[in-house]
Amino acid sequence: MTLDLDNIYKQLHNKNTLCSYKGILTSDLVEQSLNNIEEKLSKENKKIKRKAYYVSVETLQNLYHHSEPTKKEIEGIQKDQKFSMFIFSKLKEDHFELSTGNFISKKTMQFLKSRIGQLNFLEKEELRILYKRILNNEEFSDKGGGGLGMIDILRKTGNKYEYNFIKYDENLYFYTLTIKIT
Amino acid sequence: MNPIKKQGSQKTPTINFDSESGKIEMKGRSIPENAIEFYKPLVAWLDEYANTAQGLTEANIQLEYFNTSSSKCILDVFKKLETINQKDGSEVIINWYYEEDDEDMLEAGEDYQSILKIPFKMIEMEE
Repeated sequence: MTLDLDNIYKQLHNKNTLCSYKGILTSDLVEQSLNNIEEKLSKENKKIKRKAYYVSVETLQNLYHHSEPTKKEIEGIQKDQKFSMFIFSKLKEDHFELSTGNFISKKTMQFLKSRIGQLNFLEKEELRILYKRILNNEEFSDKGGGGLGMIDILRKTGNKYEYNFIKYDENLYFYTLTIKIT
Repeated sequence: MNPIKKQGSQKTPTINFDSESGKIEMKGRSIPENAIEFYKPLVAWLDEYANTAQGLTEANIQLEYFNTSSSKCILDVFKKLETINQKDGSEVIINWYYEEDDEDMLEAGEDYQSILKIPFKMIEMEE
């Protein structure tokens, strides 16, 4: 099956893309990209700057932690590498968009599909209740976040997630997520 | 016991934990990828401080950003303070500072307040 990663990457850009990356994501790259995004936001009003930077921190750290390494060579990506992409764009005054793409297993796809579907349905106050419930339960995921990030982004942006899963093979999917920051 | 003093960085807050004055301060950003590592010594310090806590412990929390990895760790810090507050003769107050018009940070403080049995004071900072 062909998966045109270059085309997906291109589609997620717009004429006002401020920062983007496609390749193997490292911890250093996440840090550099966040500095870059913060710099690009420096002239924006305080409120949107805060929101956009917060969403970027949460999303890029998530992307770094949760990308599935590809178990075989795919579209020129060497095996066992965590391939990801992200695109941060300004849509118009006080409107930004952050899109990410990464490989996930079928199991994760099934989980995310139902999870995001549920979260997208919740109102602000319901998200707040859920956030507090998860915050206060002792369990901690090995990656540290405990699923709070996805809820908190919805709380802070007030927008719904746009997402898509593209099947690569029986067990591997390419997952794209777009967050509107307003 | 020795105080903890840490200079803040791009990713971690400035920390001043002082047992003699009973003042606990966290200020700046808390967005490390692995927050547990950063907060572990702080929670351990509070565990020890609980044995000799001052009559009044004042926590000044002034965060600009924190990621969700930090949010559970911050709750762990507050839960230690809650334990101290429940002891006879030792009171704790948490002063939660937020920038003017940063409703998200005010809400974050209120979320902690609603989970914990400890007095919170929400303090808006004017620009």
